[in-house]
Amino acid sequence: MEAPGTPLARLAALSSAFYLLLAISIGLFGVVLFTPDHSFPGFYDLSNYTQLLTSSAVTIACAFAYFRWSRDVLLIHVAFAAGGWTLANAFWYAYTLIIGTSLPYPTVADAGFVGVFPFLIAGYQEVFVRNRLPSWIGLVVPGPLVAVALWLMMDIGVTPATLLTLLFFVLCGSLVVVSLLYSVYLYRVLFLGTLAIAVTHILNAYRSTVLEPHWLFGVVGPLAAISFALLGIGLLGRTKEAME
Amino acid sequence: MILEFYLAASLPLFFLLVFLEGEQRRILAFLVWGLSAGAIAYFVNYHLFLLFASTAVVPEVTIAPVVEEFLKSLPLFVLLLVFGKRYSKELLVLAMASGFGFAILENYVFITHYEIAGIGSIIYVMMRGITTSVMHGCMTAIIGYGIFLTYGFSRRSLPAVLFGLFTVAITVHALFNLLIGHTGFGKLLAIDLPLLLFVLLLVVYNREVLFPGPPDLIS
Repeated sequence: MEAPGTPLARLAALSSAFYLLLAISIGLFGVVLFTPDHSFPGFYDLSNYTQLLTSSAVTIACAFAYFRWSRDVLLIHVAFAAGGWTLANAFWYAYTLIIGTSLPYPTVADAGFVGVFPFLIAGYQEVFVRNRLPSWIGLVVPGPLVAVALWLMMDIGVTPATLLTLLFFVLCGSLVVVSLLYSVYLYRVLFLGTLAIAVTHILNAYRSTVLEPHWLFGVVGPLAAISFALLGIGLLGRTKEAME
Repeated sequence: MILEFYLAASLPLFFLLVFLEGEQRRILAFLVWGLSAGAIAYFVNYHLFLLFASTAVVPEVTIAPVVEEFLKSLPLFVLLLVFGKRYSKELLVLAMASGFGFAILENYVFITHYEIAGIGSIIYVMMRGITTSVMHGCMTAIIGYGIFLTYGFSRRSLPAVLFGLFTVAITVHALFNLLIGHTGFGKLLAIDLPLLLFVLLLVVYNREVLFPGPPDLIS
C-alpha cells in the first residue's frame, strides 16, 4: 500500500481504473463469444462507450504521467496514438449517428486508425534496444497477412478498400515485428496490448472489406477496448518501475 | 475572385518579407504559405467535390480535411524531411501561422460565396473568426507541437511521427466539420472545440513555466 496522495498512490489508482475497464471489456468480449444471441439490447452502444472511455483514459493517463512523473517518450507516443484513435472512433460513431448511413471504407476515420501504428512503431524503436533476433522475422510475420490481403484483391479487385486493407495488414505485421525485434515482450502486458491492437485492426479491416455480417466480428469493439486497457496497464507499470 | 484576393493579400507581404529577419521572417513566410495553401485547396477541393458528387461520400467531412491539413502542414514536412531543419517550440507558432493564413483566405471564400450583407455579415465573420479560423490554426499547431515534442528523437522515427500527427489533425478537423455542418446541438460542441484546443496549446506552450518537469527517465 502506498500513502494516499503520493504519486505512487495516484499511479496505483489509475492502474485500478484500467483494470476495471479491462474487466468490463472482457465481459463484453465474453458476451459475443459465449451467449446464444452473441449480443444484448444496447450492446453496441455500451461497447462503443467502453472503447471511447478506455482509449481516452489512456491518452489522459499517458499525457499526465509524461508531464508529471516521467519523461518516458513512449508515454507521449502512446498518448498521441490513443488520442488519435479516440478521435477517429468518435468521428466514426458520430458520423453513423448524424449522417445515418454507414460510413464508406476507406474514410477519415480509417486515417485515424492507421495513425496508431506509426506512433507505436516509432515509440518502440525509440525507447527499446534492438535485440539479436534475426531481421528475416520482418518478412515471415507479415507474409501470411500480406498473402490474405492479396487474395482479397484477387477476389474483390484492386479497390481503395482492398488497398487500405493491405496497408492495415502490413502495418499490423510491422508492429508485431518491431515488438519482437525490440524486446517489447519483456513487458508482457504491453506486448499483449500490442498484439491485441494488431488483431483488432486486422479483423476490422477484413470486416470492412468483405462486408459480410458475422456474429464473430462483434468481438472487434471489445477487443479494441481490451487492447487499450492493456496498453494503459503496461505503460503505468513501466512508469512505476521508473519512479521506484 | 479567389486568385485575385490571394494575390492582393500575399504580394504586399512578400515585400515585407524582404525587410524581416529570423523568427519574424519565418512566421510571415508561414502565414503567406497558409494563404497559398488556401488558394490551392479551393481549386483541389472544387474538383474533388465534382468527382464525388454522385456518390454517398460527404466531401466536406471526408475529403476536405485531408486536402486542407496536408497543404497547411506541407512546409513543416519539407523543412523536417527534406532539409532536416529542427526548430524548438517556435514550430508551434510557425504551424499556427500557416493555419491562420489558410483561414484568412477561406473566410474570404465563404463571405463572397454566401453574399451576406449588413450586421449579419459582421456576426458571421466574427463567428468564423473564433471557431473555424482558430480550428485551422490549432490543427496545424498540433502537428507543429508534436514535432517539437520529438525534438530529441532520432531522425528515423520522424516520418512515422509526422504521419501520425497528420492523421490526428485530419480526424479532429473532420469531426469539427461533421458537428458544425450536420448537427443542431452538436454545433455548440464544435464551437467550443477550437477554443478549448487553443487554451490547451497555450498551456502546453508555456508548460515549463506552469509545470516544472521531473528529472529525465533513463530507459
